[in-house]
Amino acid sequence: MSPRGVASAPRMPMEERRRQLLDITLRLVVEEGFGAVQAQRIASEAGITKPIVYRAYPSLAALQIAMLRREQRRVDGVLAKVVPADAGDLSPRDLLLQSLGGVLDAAAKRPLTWRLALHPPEGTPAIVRKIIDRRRQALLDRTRGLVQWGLPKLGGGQAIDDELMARVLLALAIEHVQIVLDDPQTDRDALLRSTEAILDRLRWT
Amino acid sequence: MRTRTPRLAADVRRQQILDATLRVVARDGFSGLTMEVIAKEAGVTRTPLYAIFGDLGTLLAAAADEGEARARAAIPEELLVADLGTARPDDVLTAASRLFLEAVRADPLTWQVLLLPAAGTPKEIRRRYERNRREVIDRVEQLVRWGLERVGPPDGADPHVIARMIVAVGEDLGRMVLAEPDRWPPDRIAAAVGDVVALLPAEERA
Repeated sequence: MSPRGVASAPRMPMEERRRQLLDITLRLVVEEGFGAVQAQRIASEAGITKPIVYRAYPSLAALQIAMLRREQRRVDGVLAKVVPADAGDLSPRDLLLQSLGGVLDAAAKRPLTWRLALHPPEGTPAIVRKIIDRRRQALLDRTRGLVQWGLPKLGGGQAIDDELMARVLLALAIEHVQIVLDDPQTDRDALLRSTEAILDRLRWT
Repeated sequence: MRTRTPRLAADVRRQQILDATLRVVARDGFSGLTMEVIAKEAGVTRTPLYAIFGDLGTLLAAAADEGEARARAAIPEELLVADLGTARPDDVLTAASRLFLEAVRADPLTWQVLLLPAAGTPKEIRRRYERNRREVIDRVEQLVRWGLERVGPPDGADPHVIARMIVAVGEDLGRMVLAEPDRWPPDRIAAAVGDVVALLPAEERA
């Protein structure tokens, strides 16, 4: 079983090969769960032999971890941008709309990454779930900081429960993403218009 | 004839088994779920489980029916009409969220299975949940249409999107109540919902 014998799979630089295997692993995990990550399956989807899979990653566990790390980095990168530690010169209204828009664009660009983030599939290792929970809490804390900054700029907003409001905003953002994942044809601007309409009804100071 | 447990009327026994099934599913999820495990939880032998339900699939479907029926029963009839007349939409939203969260608190088992579907939830049951969710969203959408009509719809607001957002927030609040009931008492949430709703100027249409 020489790799040269596989006509359909020309030699690929290792970096590119790894990317291909990570993409296949991501799709299998999202669509079928971690149980679908089998060497033979991955090899045949990549059009290569099993030894080439193992040359790129020493074990299936290593492949899964590398995939989870890459996806986590992608999500973190987006979230760091759309949920900043400091709002800068933006108004709360503009920040919220910009954040929702940013996360919707990210989800439209990489739906599998965001499906993985929103719905940890069957067989997600307990340690991974724990990491997800911790990151979620960190995101919640950052959101709460922004809520504490934004609420006083709202007529009647000072008294509002900021911890609860942070949860509500995250739930809203997640549902926005879910709408785009459910229907990739969703018009992002039309979707944001409802939020915009409501935000514009509020009394900002 | 001697039996381990006293003989019960068939419907009582049936109920006892369904309750036990919901408890096990809420606690341990669907993986590793067998007739044996459920029988143990109900404190009976497997015999009545097979006699009443036939097989595990049928029992799980019946338990899902039971959960749905309980969830539906928690929704007050007043909210099931298309037009709430001259009620104030903000009052309706505040009251509905309080009723829902009190229902979650009163029957955490039922709602945990619906709001936090465990790993290993069978596909058919997941599909049911999704179908139910769509129905709830449709129902809320009708109320949103009525509410927007009452307050004068903001330009560009899509009732379907708003309904999805209300349902998503409601589900998350329900999960918070399930996870930390002491931290999120109904009064705290109702007060916050009231505060948020009060931000929306509710000018009635002439």
